[in-house]
Amino acid sequence: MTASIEVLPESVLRDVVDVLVRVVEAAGALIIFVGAVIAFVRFLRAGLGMRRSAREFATIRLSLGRFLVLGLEFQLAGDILSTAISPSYTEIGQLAAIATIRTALNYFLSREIARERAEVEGGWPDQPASSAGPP
Amino acid sequence: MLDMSELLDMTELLDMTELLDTVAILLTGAALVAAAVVLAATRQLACALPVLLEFLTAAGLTRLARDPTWTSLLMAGGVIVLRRLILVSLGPGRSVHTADQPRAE
Repeated sequence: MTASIEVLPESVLRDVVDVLVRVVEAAGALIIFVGAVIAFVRFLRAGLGMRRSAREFATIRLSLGRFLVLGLEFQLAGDILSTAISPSYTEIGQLAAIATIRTALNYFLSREIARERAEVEGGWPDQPASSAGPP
Repeated sequence: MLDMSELLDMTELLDMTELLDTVAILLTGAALVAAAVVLAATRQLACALPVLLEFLTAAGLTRLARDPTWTSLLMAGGVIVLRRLILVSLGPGRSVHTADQPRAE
């Protein structure tokens, strides 16, 4: 006869992790949704208002991209949590895919931000340097 | 100690597959509207297309928040690759012209 004390049964741990994963992934989805709603309202206001410069739209688009990256971070955290208990090859593969997507998004977004900054600092291509920037 | 039945109820409560599907559809609609607004305001496809693809990326990432499948992963990755290809094909600097300051022909 074996006397064993189960402090934290695996089934309970599995359920707890499952809840945590869902909470973290829901937070990621909420961040993406909120970012998209904010960007959508800003696009409408800029498009229907007076600020119709392409640079204004690019700025709004980049802000949406930052929300996407943040939401992806949460999703990645959820995936890391889900691999905490008995990770399968499928889960590891999906984690790798999401990490690749997140890294690619991060990389391209950083390049876009750097390019936007260079354009703002260096002036607009079709305008003289003295009139750099949007009206 | 956690009550197992409460925990399972919470898990079912947090199963938001339908909600996330709805959000993804809403974001797809927002993509079309926002891109149309930008296109109407700037009259430049180079400005409107990135907006469309950014929102479509958001929709794809929302779908990833539920149980991710290889199909949803491929779709999200595909949109990002497509977005980059379109941006590269449009060329750098083409998105910076303003509607009230058209390009010199």
